[in-house]
Amino acid sequence: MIAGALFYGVAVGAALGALVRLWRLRRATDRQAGIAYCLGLAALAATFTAMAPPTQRLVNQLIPDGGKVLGNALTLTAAFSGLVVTLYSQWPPELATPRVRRRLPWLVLVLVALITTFALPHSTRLTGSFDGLYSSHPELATYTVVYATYLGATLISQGRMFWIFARLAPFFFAVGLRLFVLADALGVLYAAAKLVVLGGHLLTRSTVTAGDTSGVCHQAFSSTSCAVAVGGPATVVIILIGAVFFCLLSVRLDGLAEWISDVRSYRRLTPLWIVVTAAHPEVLNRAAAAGLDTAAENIELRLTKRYVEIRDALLLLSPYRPSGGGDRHRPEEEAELILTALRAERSRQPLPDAQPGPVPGPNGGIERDREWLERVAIAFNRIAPEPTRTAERMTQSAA
Amino acid sequence: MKRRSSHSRLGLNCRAQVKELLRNVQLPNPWSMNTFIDQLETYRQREIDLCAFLWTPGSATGAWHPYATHDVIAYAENTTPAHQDHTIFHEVGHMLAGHTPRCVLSTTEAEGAAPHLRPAALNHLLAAESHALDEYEAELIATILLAQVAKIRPHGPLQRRVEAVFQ
Repeated sequence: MIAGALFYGVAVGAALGALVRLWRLRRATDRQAGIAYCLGLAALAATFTAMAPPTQRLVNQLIPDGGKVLGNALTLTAAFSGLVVTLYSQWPPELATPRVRRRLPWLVLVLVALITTFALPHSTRLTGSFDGLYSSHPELATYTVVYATYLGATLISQGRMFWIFARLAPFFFAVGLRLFVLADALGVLYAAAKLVVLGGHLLTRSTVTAGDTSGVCHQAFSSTSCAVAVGGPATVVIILIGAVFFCLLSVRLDGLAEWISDVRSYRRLTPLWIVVTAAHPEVLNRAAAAGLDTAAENIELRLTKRYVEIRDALLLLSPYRPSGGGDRHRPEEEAELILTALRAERSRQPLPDAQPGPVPGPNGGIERDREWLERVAIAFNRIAPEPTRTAERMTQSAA
Repeated sequence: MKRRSSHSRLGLNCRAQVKELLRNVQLPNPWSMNTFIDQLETYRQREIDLCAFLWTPGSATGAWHPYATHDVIAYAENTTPAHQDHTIFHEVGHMLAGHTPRCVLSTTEAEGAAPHLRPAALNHLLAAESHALDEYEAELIATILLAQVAKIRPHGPLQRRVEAVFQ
């Protein structure tokens, strides 16, 4: 009952996911990839529905052991649809579609082979596991070889692509994609194990079935055969659920990680910001005069504003910087130079005759510049540990 | 309260303007201000000249002046590229909001500050004044745009497709 609930629960989740994706197709930039993903989730929903014990019992009543071939056929279809999703992710649609069309006949061929070998007359009544029947029923060995080989090859291709995708993705998204890789790897192991078990049975001409005398595994890992037949696939299912969960939530989780990082950066810049804006409060004046309530803005804007105010103030301080230094010197040196410039300005030293040089910083974008300023701010905090008091002292000494 | 609510409306307007701009002019990935300006020129059907000048104490860090057929944006060259981006975005903000700068420098004074520009391209450029509210509007637009640039991760087409499919 619990197993049935688990299978049907996953099926409902996959079906809901397919509906959500279908709804999002309206805004999708790549409709073919979006459709492939919908169909993949729908195939997953159908597979889990077919593999649920109550469904298996129902189908087996209509066709003896029909539940097995239905489940296997849908498993291969779901694996193929997963491969299609990776192809449409890897290639633009005009290059992905021919690749899908080249692979589709193989799936059709394999499904025909499964149904044919299953439908051939058997001297023994089939009851789920083919273990013990391979030596007396070579068509069942063919069935298993075709099924396991196609499943393994498809999962290898799929897993390879998910591995490449994961290397390009942000943290939580990469976790989800790597869980897909793990599920694929375990699926390949499962397929390989089926071939090994088959080979063992053929070599020894064994008639031992998996599970009890009826071929039913009452516990997922009660024997090697049951581990291969039931436990392994069940583990793959759980990992697949985790993979889909992480991928779906990764936008929020990576967004949360970015928010935390922004808050951390904002706090790290504070000591430097307090001192340089105390020296040049006019860089804050536009916001103050306009009554802008910066506390109400989101952290992205507040962090960007803080960065700009620091850079504005450092530019205004640049005439008092000692000459020398470039954008490659250490943050500690830069912090010392800023402190020297602040002191020179506050002590009302005359402006040097030379034109102000470039304000040091990395050549990259704002992220690199901000990271640089954070390192400078940390170093600055070490040499001027009480930034507000430092600012007040500088103001008083200037007065 | 009245002043605060007018700023709230202005803030909403700024966000709407940036949203409208980004619908028509995508931020290039990887980020390049020159590519962004090229796209902005195509969108506005007007050329935009970027003019770097050596900032000195007492002068503005950036300025914008519209001419009959093109716009000129000046920015301080003696600061980091990311800071320069903000300055340019600030002037783009004035441009988008349709502000009218008033020039307070003569052509001779302007040529002295940016001698490498041909005289015809530089006229009454530096130290143009704007209303304080205009400054707030332009500053907010610039901050929003720079915050968007900060979120750009160098993505190839493969990365973009994978995210579009799985997220």
